[in-house]
Amino acid sequence: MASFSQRLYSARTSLGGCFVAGVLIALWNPAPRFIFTFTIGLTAGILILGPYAAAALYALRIGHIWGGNLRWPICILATLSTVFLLDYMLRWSQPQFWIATFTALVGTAIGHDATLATLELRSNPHLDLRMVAVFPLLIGLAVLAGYSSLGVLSGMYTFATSALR
Amino acid sequence: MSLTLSKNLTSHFEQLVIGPPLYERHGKLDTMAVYPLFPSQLSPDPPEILTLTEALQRGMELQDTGVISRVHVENPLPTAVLAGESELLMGQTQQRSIQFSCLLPAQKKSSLPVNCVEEGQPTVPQASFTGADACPWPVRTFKIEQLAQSGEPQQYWVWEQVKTYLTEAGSNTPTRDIRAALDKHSYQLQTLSDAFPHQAGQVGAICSVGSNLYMELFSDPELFEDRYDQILRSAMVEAFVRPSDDVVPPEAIGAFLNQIAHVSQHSRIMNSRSLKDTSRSMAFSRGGVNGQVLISQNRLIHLSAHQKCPGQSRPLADLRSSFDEAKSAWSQQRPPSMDDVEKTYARRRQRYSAFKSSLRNHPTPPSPPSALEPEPSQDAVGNTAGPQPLSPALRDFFVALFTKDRV
Repeated sequence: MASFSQRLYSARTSLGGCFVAGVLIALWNPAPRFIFTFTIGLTAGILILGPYAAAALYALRIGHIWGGNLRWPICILATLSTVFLLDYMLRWSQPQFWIATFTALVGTAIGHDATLATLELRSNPHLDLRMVAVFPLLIGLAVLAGYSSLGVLSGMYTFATSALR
Repeated sequence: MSLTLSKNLTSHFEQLVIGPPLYERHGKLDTMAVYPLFPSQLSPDPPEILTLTEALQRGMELQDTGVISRVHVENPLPTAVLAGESELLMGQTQQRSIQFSCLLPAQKKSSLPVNCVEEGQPTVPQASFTGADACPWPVRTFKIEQLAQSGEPQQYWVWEQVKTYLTEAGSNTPTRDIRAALDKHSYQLQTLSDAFPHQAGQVGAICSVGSNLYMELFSDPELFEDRYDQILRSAMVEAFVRPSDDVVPPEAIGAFLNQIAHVSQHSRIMNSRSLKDTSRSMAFSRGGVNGQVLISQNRLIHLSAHQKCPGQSRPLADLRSSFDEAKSAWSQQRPPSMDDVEKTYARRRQRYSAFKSSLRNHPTPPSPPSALEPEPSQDAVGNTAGPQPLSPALRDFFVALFTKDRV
């Protein structure tokens, strides 16, 4: 039997990856706008863009067009159009733009497939809606945790070295 | 490949003999006629294939995977099993309809592509399917059309189709199961089916219901005989759900067969990883003709097809005399090959019964799935136009992540 925590443990690689990404961003540039762009891009991709692309494809019954490969351009189109629109409104810097594009693309792909998995389990009494709701948020929190932990470790190191002197 | 299929079907149809139409003589069912199909010659050997219902009685197991589009199969029998597109799977779980006809390999585990036809009933992982019934033709036609167009019927639209059909049939149930339509007319289905008796050597039938033609054709008369009750139920229920007093006259039958052969040029191959070694299924849909074919070793195992013939149907009352004339002409001057077919069939039937009896008590355990024989979650219909994930591994990861208490 797979409990909530056991299933969460099975996702440790992806959550760990997000944590490491947060650490790397903190190392590269600790300005908060970058980490927020990364986190929001990824989470919004999973929660909004991916399900939106899946709904557009399958509710409109256009999934069969182009030999069934329409899902790729639709996901890319949905992501890029959203990023361009936000870039136009928020006037992002170039690194921010690329971070947003990359994370939103990855998030959309994850969100698309997660939506299909949820639809597949739609009539299954074992569908864990709590996990469906919590997992995308945990992904974002893991990134923020990675980012914050570097600051905490750095502060602790500074504190320890100054105390020892 | 499709041209080859079309040619194969054309030559197969040329070997068929269309028998005189059968109809209910007491006026209780004026909306249905059945045209029996016979082979012009029959090989001496019966098939080494079982139908699904027979196999379930002899130890084959079908289990719900918890995923609505897949059913896990364990076939311990030393023979392949024909799972027909027309079959409804029933058990202590959600009812499923088999997506397309396929051969379930002997002594192996495999995964059977299905659609849910009971939206209000949750799936019960590991629950067994214990029986099979007939799926009404409108749902089958929709399914075949979707298969031909996009490779996989989209579950949401199948549910919508079932909902519409049940509303038309006036047999909505809390769980919206398609079988409710059959249950509602079970008495008539049982009593009136006597009007359409099975005939020795028959390999197929074209049922005319209103302005629709429904065809089922099998490689072997034994398979057809075992499936005949379900074939009749699948078509006959339409006569009660959408009553009219018309049937399609015999002149349209030849054209229907030609249309099937022609449209099959545009067929789409259905691939299922765990079934691909044993057989090949194809679906086609164009110009009002929908059908699917199962081929194994270049031999047609099962064909089902539907055509709507608006404007071609005529009241059964007008056709009765010509039907009776056709019947008397058949009894006086039927093709000479029919005698041989009947005799050969009688011998084959005995051997086939012995073959089935030998399977009853000797199921052998299925071999473990090989690397080429993936478990249900890994299986996928090869044509990628349905709701396909960007990455199957990612989809599977989320299915496992979002399923609680899953073994």
